[in-house]
Amino acid sequence: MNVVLFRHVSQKIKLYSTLIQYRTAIAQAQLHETQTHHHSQQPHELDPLKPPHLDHDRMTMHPRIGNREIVGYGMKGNPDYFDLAMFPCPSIRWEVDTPEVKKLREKEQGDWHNLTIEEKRKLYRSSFRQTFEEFTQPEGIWKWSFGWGLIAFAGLTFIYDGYRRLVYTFDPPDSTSDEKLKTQLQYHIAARQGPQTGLSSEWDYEVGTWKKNVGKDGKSIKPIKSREE
Amino acid sequence: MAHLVRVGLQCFSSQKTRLISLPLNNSMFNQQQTRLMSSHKKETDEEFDSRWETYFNRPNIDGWDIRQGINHMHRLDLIPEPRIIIACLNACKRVNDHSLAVRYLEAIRHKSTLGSKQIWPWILQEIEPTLKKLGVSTPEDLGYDKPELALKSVEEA
Repeated sequence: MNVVLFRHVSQKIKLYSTLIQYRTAIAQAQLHETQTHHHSQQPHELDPLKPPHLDHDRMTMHPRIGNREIVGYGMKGNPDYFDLAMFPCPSIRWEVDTPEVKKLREKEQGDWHNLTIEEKRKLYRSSFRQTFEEFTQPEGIWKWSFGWGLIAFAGLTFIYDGYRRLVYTFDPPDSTSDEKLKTQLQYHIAARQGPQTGLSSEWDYEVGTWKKNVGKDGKSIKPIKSREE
Repeated sequence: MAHLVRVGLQCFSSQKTRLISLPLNNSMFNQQQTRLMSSHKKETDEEFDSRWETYFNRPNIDGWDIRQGINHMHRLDLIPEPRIIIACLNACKRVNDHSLAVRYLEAIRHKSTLGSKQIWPWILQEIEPTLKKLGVSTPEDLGYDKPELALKSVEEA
């Protein structure tokens, strides 16, 4: 486990993989009354900013949770905190035990009518991270789902289009060569396309050439298309 | 018991047996068992309630056992009777853990409001004397019927 972090300690440490083993070991030791250090089972009065006091139990069971008191079985017996609607009571308290909280706990042992609302709220928050209302709120994940769905759809459309452009290519036809364009022009003129304002209006059919147009400025207008002279 | 009587009559009489209408059927032993398909007895509601009540009314109960009981009971498909809740609150008082009592009330409130809005006020009404006697605040008193902190959920991190 995390024994690597504590290499200076000898290898005689017993590692308990479940909280049940830990508790039975403690119970057995208490039965035989050989264990004199009961302090290791209780939370120490510590500065929460300093690393916790190292002893056998802390090094084996809860190097991750620090000073926090183990209060229950929880979900699977591990000393982990959780906020779940299925299991109201987690296995450890949420916050570390500070001297202020210790004072409140002592006050809690008396009459609860003496506790103010603020003190009760502090006690609650020291034991639990979120209230039921807070962790059962809807998180609005449907917005993300809808957005990513639209983005995925757009992305797939782009990929589909790009694939088609990449794969289904053709050599361009040769109808854009000059020869073919010339014959095309002849056909258009023969078919009288654009007789009033278009192409054929610039062709002088009696002579067989392009008309010589004179513009408003007195200069000749050259037609745009290539001519057959 | 009933079938033994019938077998006895069949053995010792040559005529066709007539079932005597004695109350030797199953309903004498177990009032609630109306189905005859399973032979093991089902626990009645009364037994269930008193079992849980005695569990929480143990004088030397541990915070560990209270939490086990709460978690186990919360998993069942029911909302506990007010007397079980009262027993649990008294147990929390013996263990000197006020926030555990509030957590339990919150759990019940959450579970009951999922079904209908009439259950929670009724439960509060039933446990009102105990709340006053012990000095337990309801979630509404602490302002926890509405969310207070907006923390990230564990999955988001």
